[in-house]
Amino acid sequence: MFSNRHYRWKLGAAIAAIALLGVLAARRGEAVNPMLWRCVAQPERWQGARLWIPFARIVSVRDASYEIAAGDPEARIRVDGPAPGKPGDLVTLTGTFRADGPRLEPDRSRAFPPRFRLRWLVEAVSIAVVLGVLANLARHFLFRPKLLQVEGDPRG
Amino acid sequence: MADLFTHFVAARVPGMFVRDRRLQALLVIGTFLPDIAGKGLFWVLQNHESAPLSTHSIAGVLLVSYLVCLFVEESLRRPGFFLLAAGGAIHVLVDLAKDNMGVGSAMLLLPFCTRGTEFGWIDSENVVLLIPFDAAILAAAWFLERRWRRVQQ
Repeated sequence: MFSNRHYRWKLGAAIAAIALLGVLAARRGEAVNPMLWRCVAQPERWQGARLWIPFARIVSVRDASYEIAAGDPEARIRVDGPAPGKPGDLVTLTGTFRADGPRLEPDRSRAFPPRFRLRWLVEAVSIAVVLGVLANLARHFLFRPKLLQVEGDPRG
Repeated sequence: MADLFTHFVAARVPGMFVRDRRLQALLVIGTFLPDIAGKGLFWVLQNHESAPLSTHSIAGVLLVSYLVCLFVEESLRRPGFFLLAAGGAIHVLVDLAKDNMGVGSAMLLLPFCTRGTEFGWIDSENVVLLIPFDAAILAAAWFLERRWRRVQQ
């Protein structure tokens, strides 16, 4: 399994299996959590679907409902119930899609705190960490024939 | 995806107990593989929601670890595979701590079940608060590791 025998076949099989798993997750996950724009484009098809919207912006607020914009491409939908924030605030929510409207019956919703604007800091630190780890990996695994010639094989 | 600094620290601390620096590097890179491979599937399949989660499953972690271990020299492949998989498992465990509104941050039993799993201990937007704690843990780990090395010498 870990030898060099049939190396190319093992490599190809591993890549194919990962791709297959990704396609399977994409196909089956579509019914579990469809994108908002798909639901809005075909309301009847997605009637009753459970949605999770990780990031949404409150566009407008009314007495008994509010409108959010989310996704890429962006789609808008009315959400029943009181708004968790004011227009412009970012929220995350789960709910059930209803074709009449269309609208969303919220299950759970949460407004992001102001510190969520610091998300760029997390992303910047994350990128720096990945670059550092990759540099460390290259230090240990890069094949450097010149170094071998000067210092000899480290394994003796 | 929690922030990658938290993932790094979560793998680097147990990495203190791995003597071979190359295997230690594989453990640490293993903890980034679910996100790196997930981003690859995200771009290739143009699927935002569930395709990236396929690498956050037991089968996904094992397959990606096997693929990556094929790129290291033959003598390191077997221990390398186990450490890459351990890194991936640490990544999934850290992600499970997040609260994704009950939807789940990993599909552990894919391809048999697409049910998302999560512990829901911390709101995903609050991972920024973990950075100072991570830095303190990392500093302590590095300090202890250097002391142990000196004692061994």
